[in-house]
Amino acid sequence: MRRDRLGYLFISPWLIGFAVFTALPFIASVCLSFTHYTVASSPTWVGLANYQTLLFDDPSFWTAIWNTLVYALVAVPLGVAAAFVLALLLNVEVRGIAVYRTIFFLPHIVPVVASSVVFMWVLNPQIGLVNGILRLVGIEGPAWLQDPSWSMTTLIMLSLWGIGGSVVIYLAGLKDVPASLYEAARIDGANVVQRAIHITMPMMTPVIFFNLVMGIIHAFQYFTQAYILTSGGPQESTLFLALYLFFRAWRYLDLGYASALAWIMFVLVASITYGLFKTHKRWVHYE
Amino acid sequence: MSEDPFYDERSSRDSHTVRLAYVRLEERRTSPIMPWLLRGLAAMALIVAIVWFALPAPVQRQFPERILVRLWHQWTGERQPLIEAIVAAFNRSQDRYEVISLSVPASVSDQKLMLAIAGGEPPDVMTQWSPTIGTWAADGLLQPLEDLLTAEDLRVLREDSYPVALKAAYCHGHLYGIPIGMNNFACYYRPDLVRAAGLDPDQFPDSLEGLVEWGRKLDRVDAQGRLERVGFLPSRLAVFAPLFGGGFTERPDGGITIDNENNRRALAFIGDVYRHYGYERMIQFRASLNTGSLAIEWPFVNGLYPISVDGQWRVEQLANYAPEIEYRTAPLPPPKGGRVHAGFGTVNLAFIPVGARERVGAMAFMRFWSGLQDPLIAGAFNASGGWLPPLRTIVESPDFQDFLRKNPQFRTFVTAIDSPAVEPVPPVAYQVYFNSRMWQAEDRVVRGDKTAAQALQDLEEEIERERGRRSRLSRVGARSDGAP
Amino acid sequence: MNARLGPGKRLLTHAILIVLAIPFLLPLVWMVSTSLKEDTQIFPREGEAASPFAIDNLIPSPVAWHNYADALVEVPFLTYLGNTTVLCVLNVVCAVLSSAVVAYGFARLRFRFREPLFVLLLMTMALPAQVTMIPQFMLFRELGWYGTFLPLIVPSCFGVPLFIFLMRQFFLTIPEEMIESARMEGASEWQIFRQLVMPLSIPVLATCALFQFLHTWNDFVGPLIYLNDPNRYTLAYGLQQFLSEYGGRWSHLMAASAMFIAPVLLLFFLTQRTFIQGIATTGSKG
Repeated sequence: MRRDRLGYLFISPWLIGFAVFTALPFIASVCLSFTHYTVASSPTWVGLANYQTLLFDDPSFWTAIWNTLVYALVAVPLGVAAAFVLALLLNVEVRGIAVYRTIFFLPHIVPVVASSVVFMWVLNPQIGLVNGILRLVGIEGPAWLQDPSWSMTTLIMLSLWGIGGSVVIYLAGLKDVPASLYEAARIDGANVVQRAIHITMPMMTPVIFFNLVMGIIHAFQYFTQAYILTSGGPQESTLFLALYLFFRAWRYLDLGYASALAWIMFVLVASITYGLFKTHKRWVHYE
Repeated sequence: MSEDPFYDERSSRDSHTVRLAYVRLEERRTSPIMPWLLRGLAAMALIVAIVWFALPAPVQRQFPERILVRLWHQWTGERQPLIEAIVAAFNRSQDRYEVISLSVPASVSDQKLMLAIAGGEPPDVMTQWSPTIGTWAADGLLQPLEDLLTAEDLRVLREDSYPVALKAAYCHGHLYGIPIGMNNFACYYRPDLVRAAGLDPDQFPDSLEGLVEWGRKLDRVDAQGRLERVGFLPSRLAVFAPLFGGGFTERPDGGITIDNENNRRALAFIGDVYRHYGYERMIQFRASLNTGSLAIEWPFVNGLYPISVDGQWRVEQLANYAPEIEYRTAPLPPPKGGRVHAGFGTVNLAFIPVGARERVGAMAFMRFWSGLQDPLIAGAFNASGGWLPPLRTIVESPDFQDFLRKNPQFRTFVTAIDSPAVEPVPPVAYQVYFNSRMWQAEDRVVRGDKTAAQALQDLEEEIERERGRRSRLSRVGARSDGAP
Repeated sequence: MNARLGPGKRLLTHAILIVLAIPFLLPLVWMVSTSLKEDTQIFPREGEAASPFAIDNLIPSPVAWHNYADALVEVPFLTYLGNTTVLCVLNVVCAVLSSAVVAYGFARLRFRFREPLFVLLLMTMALPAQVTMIPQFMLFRELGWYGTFLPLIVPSCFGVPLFIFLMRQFFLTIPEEMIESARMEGASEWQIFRQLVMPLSIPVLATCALFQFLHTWNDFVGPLIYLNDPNRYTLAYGLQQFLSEYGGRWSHLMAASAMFIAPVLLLFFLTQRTFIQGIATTGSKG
């Protein structure tokens, strides 16, 4: 009992905040998903009509689901792994490591507009840097962002560019790995790679778990870069759920429909997250 | 052994106990008064800061005794002072209202407006340059404006506006926006490059077929067979369809004329140009032009695209950033047997959101900006902004005539806009949806994925589906509204 | 100072890091390069198509330093900087402190419904903000907060789910024996949190502070939606002023961008050790 009270006391800031600032808007948006709502007039009840249309009469919605799943399932594991390796590299004590760390974190600091302009140039099929380099080895590169068979791959590769955030989190975690474990491994004759896999990785599972869950949640809300670089095109090859939601909500002005879309999206993310959370006791080691 | 890069003794968890002791020690050493004093001060500062920023900022008024009219517009950066100048001129011109303006960048302006309307805090005047009025008016976001205008105003609007302005501003039977500026498209071309290709720049083609011929003579292909320069690259079905006698207008039943013979011919024309060069090669070339939303260059200037169909705003841009470039403009010619003086135009509109507090003052300002009040004054600020004015009398004003003398290439646009065959994006309830799907349909054709006929048929189906969905929803809504 | 790598491996590490760093550095280089060019150079002329990345054009000549001065004049930079700083400081302090308390509760205290409540916390991040925007806006308006900074500060005083999650993951790795022994010594949970867990968690606290700082620094939509007075806007709004519908003055945009990121860059560079070392250094002294 006393323990209960103490626990609730500690989490009370969030509980209050949730009740005041989050719960109401959440409930409101559930209700809105069963209505036709265009901001100016009061919402009118339409029952399951929005869900029906989405599931059975909206090909763009299914395209968006597919694209988002592909992105989440490829970009997230890729990013989690790449950030881990980069973090190991950046954990080394060499001169100027502070500069390197800053450089890899740059994508989070440079305004998206500025970096997007650069990507447009780098990926320009005829005069861009990437295809220029490929041409040196005799390959004619594609139109990275404008070719529907390449645009998704390109966005996934660009997502790697933003791993600096995860790297910082890993770096914070790496310092918590007990040195005694390394020492024992060294005595057993384990090399650098073996130590990374058998000691660092298991010790880092809480952080890996965090990055994985947040990666999934963010992947489902992936928006800015796709909005600026491709706007969902070409041919809906990069139409993501968040992008479609934005168009429906603020462009075509159909907030009921957008809310229904958001809740389908919510159920998807929630079940993936919940699944990860349920299995995490098996592979995440605390302490 | 000492070479393990992942080994760092200072990170050791084993030293936690040591650290714990250290922290404890530290705690004991520091006097308890200092932290409390510091914390108290910090808390005080925090509270003061929060209270200070919690107070709503008073609106900075130059004329506090006047009625406040709030304007949200989308012009940013170096264009913003132009709007400020119009506002200042209005505030000087009368002593009843004070307009306070706020620049809301276009990327967020829709969102801010919707939220403000939902929350009952809309501005009194809002401007919009994208074709959204049909959707917004149908959804009840906008105030019909007839009641706020005099019979004389309505007459001037009817007689002195360009036809396309009225087509864009009237929807669902009412006037929902006051035109404050026009946009249309024409050919920009480079006489120097044309001459170099053995053509006479004074004999600009009078048919679309002739223009395609010209374009082919300007093409350049590099050693690897890549397109280096494409003379003429048609784009935007909305611009070309009217030339073929087609176009997209509202049908009596509320639909849009989409899948018909003339539109098919127009879309097939665009598709054929791509097919001629090879779809893939053309997509590569087009992608390399970087004409997307973040285009940092206009390929016209570096000669990659020597005949370019673009809007009148390029005239001012060229004057500012590439003054030495020799260029001319000409109306886009119709195909043989096509419709002359036809084209596509969009309109910058000012409107009053539903729930606005000061409608009369809002209209007073809109009358001023649009030139309904005084076309002579409007001539001055249209000239300074390089805008295409919404009224013929503004174009005739001395200030604007002076602007035309300095920018003779602008005349093409002024002439072209004044035609009953210039069409806007039809302001139907699903206008925004239609506009984006039309682009998609064209994109399918220029990639060789669909024939023009197929693309238009699919587009029509898609639009009908959305229209049906919307009307079903509003019917259901109406029924539940009527229920007791 | 304790270089544990041999010269060969050190060189190799540098080589790998440098190669990897190039794509991360590119936007910055291009930004600075463009910010120093005259506007007429930004519309490339004939035969200059590939110019922005061609070596001969990367270095601007003449160097147009005046772009920075021009950009400063175009927007009230100092006003925006002041507003941004206040918002950042308040948000960072509120978000980190409140999240740490909540995270400790979730990580180290046992209470009924702890797991379901934590899952609920995770779930609140799964619903896109786009659809709760309108209800939330109306809520803040009902509270009378429209037009003030409150909607931009108060919510972060109640714990940020992302940070609560992250801190929980770190708090969970602190050995149970340490906490137990502190309890045995008679320390209250609050003392354990304040005097044991917090000092041990400086890196993760700093990481959260950094993320919150960047979020507030870059947030352009929030202030724009809740505030109507240009004098209350932030640097991110000022930056948007340099973008216009048909491409604006890229030199000014890039100069403004460079000034926009300079303080953040400096801050990160100077504090990056905190994210990875924190108390560890102090501890080894003891």
